[in-house]
Amino acid sequence: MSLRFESVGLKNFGPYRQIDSLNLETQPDAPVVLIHGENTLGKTRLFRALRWCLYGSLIPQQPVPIATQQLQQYLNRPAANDGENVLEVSMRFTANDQPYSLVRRATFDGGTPRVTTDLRIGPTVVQQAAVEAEIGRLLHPQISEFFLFDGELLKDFYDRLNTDRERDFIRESIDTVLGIPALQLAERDASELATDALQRQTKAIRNVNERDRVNRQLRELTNEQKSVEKDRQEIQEALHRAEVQLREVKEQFGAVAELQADAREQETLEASIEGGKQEETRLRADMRQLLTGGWRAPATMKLLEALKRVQAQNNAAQDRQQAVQEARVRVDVLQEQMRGGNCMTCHQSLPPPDESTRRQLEDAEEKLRNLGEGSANGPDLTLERRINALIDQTTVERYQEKQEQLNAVLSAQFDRSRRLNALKDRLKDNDAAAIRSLGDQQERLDGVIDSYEQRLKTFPPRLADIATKQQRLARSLDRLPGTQPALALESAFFAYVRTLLSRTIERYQERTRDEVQTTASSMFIRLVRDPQGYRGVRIGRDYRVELLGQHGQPIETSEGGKQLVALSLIGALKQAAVRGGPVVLDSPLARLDLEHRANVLQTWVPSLGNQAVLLVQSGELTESDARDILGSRIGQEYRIYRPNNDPDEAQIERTQ
Amino acid sequence: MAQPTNDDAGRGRTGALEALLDVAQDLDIAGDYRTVSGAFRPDDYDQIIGLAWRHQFNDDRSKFKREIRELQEHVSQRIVARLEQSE
Repeated sequence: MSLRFESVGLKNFGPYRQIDSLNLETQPDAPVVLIHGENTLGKTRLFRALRWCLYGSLIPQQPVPIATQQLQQYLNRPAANDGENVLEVSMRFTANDQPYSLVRRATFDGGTPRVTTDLRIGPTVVQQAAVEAEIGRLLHPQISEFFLFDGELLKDFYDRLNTDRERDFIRESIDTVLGIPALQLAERDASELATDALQRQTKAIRNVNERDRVNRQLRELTNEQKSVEKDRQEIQEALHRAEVQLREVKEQFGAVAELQADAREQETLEASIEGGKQEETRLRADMRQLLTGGWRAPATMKLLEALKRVQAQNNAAQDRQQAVQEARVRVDVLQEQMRGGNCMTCHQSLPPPDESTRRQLEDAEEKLRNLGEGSANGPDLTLERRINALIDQTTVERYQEKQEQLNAVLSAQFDRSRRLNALKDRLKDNDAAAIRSLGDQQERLDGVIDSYEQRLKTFPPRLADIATKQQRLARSLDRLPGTQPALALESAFFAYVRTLLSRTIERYQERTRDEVQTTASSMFIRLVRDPQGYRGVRIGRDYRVELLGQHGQPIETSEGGKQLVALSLIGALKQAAVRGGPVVLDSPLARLDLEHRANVLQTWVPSLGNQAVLLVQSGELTESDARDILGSRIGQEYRIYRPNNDPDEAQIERTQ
Repeated sequence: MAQPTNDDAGRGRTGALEALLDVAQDLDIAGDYRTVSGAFRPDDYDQIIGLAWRHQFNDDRSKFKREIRELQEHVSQRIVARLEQSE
């Protein structure tokens, strides 16, 4: 393949109002085209413009009708405001020494835009219906991911390889590009022709019984074959329908991907608001309950006053009782002393009384009388307890506490509602339930597709078994009287061709896998910082990828290592699918460290083909770093810029 | 108007032919189809791959069948000639 891009032109595509012809021509010793552009300036739009021009899709595996529906958002806004309604991307390239010119144009007349393509080989116009096939022959869309390479792909490419679906996709992509479907079709035709020869041979058998027996066997085999083929076709059609549906769902899902976080937050908020409502209801009920049961609360002040009064009375009564008690003891002691008795406490004899003792006794008796010994009432503790029981000191506190809680809940509910409304505005028609439903649909379709793919894998062995039986029957026929040698030869020829093709498919697939493995290993060893630690990359029959340590054992690797494995595999797949030819890489270095970036530029990029167009931002490669690393290998170098600081407008200027 | 040829000497076709020639040299297969494989010439294998490639995008398979039948007739004639010679 000697395909090489020469130039690209853009009209009203994304921020590019008019880029007449961006020269992409390179020389063998300067195969790199560098296009620098900071984020959001329009690198990815330029990248997508190339894909759209070639295939009519904007991202890998995107059905053309869906891409066409999305074109409106790619029409340059200032141009649309000026009434222009045509978006166009043109490319010039050479393939197999022939000059090609491709123009894809979308015209917006309201509704879905009308897309036309114009492909010319030299001066000759290619029939409209044959344009896609001709481009597919040069650079098949199914392997576009390997030469129109989006750096974002690196993010989870290694992990995706651990899924059956991705491995099948890679294998099918390679098969398609290698032409395996062509061999499969030829094998099927040869099989039909072999069966046809066998049927005619059967009719020629002289012995009626033999003929009937063989006929019956042949009919059974043919019916079985037809039945298996019919089942396979039905499943393939169902699989195709499911895949189309899945692509559509993924497309819708992709469109709302950025809203998914909002949708999740919306769901959480809705749940919180519901919880808040229940909390509010509960708090209000508690407060109502406090009001109903707390009727005594308003009387608390009066009761507190009464309590204070009773407590004072009780204290005074206690003090008086104490004083009476003390006066009584004093009188008793003095009377005992007057009688010449003993102390009532220590039982020792008291000192003999004198005149002062008598006076003291008289004073003490006077004091006891004054205290009103007989009429002194004690404290009314029962009354104090009863008043205390009537006083409700907790209801008010609890009510206030509940009120504060309710205020907090209402405030949180207000914030949540405000946030929810903002989210709803953003989500508009894409409510959380709809997004969730898309997720459910995707999951269901994934399951359906997996089941179809598993069933499809059961058909080749069944068909091979039928073919073997037919072959055995054909051989047994040749010995029967009446059979025609010419038909025997015809039958043998087609059986031979069928077998050859069937084995060729297996051999070719196996050889390609070996080749991809060898190339990927070699690329990885050249890219990695410590090559002595690795033997390479192993690719299983099912395209399961493993990194091998120095002793050939499978080893785990870091995120950086995974990206190098992914780069190596993508590079190897590209080489297996299309030898030579260009590659266009959008931000391929962003996820690599500095040392690996240099390795990638110096070894990986040049190994991919005869022309590499790199779209990079300064975070991954500055203009001066690019010149330091690539030097004279840079064939063309450009910079994307905004002339008027308007995000709807971008220009591309040459930097060297 | 130009028609796509579907018949370029691209990567796929070359690799397929190499694999086909490998398979044809497999002794088991050659033994199983001794009469037919013995009458094959190198360009017959090339023709099989060429036909497969040329008609890979044709939904109407009758053209492929007709052309491979022509190849079959040539090979059958050769087989008959070889058998007659050996007698």
